[in-house]
Amino acid sequence: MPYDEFLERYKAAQRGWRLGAVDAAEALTALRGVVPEIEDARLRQTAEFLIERWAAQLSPDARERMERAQRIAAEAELDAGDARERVARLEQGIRGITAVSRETRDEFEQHALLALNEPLAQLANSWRADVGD
Amino acid sequence: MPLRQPATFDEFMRLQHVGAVNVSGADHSSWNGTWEVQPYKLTDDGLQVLGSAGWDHVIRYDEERVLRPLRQMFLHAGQLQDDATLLRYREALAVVYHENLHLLAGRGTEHADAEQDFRIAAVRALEEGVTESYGHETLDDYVDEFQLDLVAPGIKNVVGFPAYERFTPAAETLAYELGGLDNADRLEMLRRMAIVNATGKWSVATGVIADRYGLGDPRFAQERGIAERRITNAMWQHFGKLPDLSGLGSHLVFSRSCAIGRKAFEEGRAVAGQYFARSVSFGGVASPGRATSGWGSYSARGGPPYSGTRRAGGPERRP
Repeated sequence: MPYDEFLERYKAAQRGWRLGAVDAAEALTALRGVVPEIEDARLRQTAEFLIERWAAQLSPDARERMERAQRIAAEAELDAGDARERVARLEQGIRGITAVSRETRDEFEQHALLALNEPLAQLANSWRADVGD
Repeated sequence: MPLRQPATFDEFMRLQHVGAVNVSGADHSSWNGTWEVQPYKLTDDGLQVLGSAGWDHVIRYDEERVLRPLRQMFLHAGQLQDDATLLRYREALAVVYHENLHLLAGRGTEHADAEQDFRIAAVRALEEGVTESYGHETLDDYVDEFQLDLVAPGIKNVVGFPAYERFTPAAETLAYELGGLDNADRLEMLRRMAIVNATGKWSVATGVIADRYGLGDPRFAQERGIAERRITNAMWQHFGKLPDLSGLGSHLVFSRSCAIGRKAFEEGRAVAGQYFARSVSFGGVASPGRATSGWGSYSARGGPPYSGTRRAGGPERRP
């Protein structure tokens, strides 16, 4: 199997999972099954690396951290209070998510968690203008 | 034609916006040419933000997670790297592309024009969902624009995961449904929304529905503005619920987010349908029935349809 074909299958499965249409565990099993068919030995390693990345993201601990970080983000975005209160709450949210990211040593999981901070920072910057800081 | 391969990190950073404009076909980028190291400290106050497209049109990046990997990438240009290093480069590049997509704007508008609207939960959700979905799916095109696979051989063999699990499924579903009304696939609808600011994204979505339901008819000239506001509000009611999905497990988050995207579309269409019913009583306009489209090929070239390198792909199934 050409590596590109594996990569297309991987992306399609990942996308199906994100749309709630694909069971990730089943998809990973299927993907693991085709790795030996990849012609290039070096790229077989890359395929295994990608599969392990996805599996790591699905681990109960990783999911718990992501769900907790998302709850923190939602609380930080609460549509209430004056500008100063909103900025403080958003910054607290960014701190909270950053703290969650430090609970794992997996740099890619950290990256996924920290990505949640961007809209909070954008929103804080908008409200900060009203505070006059 | 791709840009010339940047020889250095500094050259790439100077041209970062051009790649986003070229891939997407946007009118322009609002970036003012300045990028800075994110002022948040990693350890002092516990804040870390990977990137941000400021309302002052300055882009700010995290030193550790974004700037350092990209500097390393150019420092070791052309050398083979292990998969983890390649993914680290790619994730850093994804942040740069994402922030530059945020800064795309339609003619006569700028990124900062949407600052007040960004305070609305539904506007934020669509802005982040569209930007992340489109950016994730067209990152290889951004790589191609700069020929970065020559700088980091194998960077297109690895792939990360899109962020914003709450927002991307809804944005993709809305794009799919809108495409059904406008003979466009999901990726093209994402593109049309990605190339305008956060306010403009809703104008695109609303405009597709309004046009398809005959609100361009001169008999609605007086009402079109109000009708579009009603359509937008109907969709906002649903997108505004997306942040609250945070209490759910991942599978439920994804499926509920998709459901919200679809419900928003249906509600917007229902409002437009009220006007359409009246237009039929006037003497008729074209039926707003679904024009077949599809999801668009996952790995299709993300640029506009006129892109010569766009690859055809079969429509994917609906979620």
